[in-house]
Amino acid sequence: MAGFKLFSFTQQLLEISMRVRGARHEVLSANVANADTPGYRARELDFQSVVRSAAEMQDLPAAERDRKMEEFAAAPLDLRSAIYEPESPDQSHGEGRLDGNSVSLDRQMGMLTENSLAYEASLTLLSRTLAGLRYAISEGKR
Amino acid sequence: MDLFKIFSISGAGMSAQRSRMTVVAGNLANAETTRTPEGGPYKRRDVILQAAPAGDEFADMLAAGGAERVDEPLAVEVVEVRQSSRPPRKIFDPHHPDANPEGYVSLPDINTMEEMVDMMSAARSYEANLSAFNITKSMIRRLLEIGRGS
Repeated sequence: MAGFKLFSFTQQLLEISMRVRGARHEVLSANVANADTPGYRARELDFQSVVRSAAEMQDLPAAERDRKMEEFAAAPLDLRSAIYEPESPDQSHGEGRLDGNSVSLDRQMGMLTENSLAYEASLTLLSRTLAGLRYAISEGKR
Repeated sequence: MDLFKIFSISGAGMSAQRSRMTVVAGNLANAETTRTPEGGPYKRRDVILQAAPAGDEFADMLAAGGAERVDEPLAVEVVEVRQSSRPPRKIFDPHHPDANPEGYVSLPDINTMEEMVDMMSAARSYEANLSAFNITKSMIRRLLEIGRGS
């Protein structure tokens, strides 16, 4: 049926956000696992750069926005280009480690926690919107 | 579901740190050992860690169906347990059965302080991996709750 749409723009955006958060969690966990590997460089996934292009669709007219979002959500996300090796703040002060490893365990753990909370925030919002959908499906009955 | 792959990354991290603990414990236990199967005093051992591709073939097969592929997510593995080439410590003890004709005994060059520091560092890294593991677990658990009726 043309024009019929079960999942809203917001839900799809939240879904993309969770996918990227999940991938970032993977990158950060790999950093923690390699905290003692000589020569390993810490990596980071730029969450904003991936999600921004999707979030910017918000200002488009509804029909075009929904169509573009549909395409964006269906295609695999391009995460490779969003991964980079951040400049280690410890190293710039000359406090770098001798083994060439740039993982700072406390910073990684902080980011890991922050990332998982942001993931849960998206998850909570998504389940709220789904609860609304369920409410409509049950014709307002609880 | 790519989140499950993180279990194998954190698991590899914990396993590598546990190997480090095992080797350190062996070094400490053998700090005074003068005889080994290969002859001579015990040689200090050191674990060499290396970044390695994560996940198994089955997970890769599942992931091939369009899931997010992070650019080579790296786990960690122990590639080698290397014997130290440091010369043994020589102690003057003519009554020792393994003393040489001059009365010196060769003991492994193991610094207890150094081993303890290594052990603490391994324990902390192990805990960090465990925390990452638990965070992943709680994320997945929350995710599963989404399907429950509320």
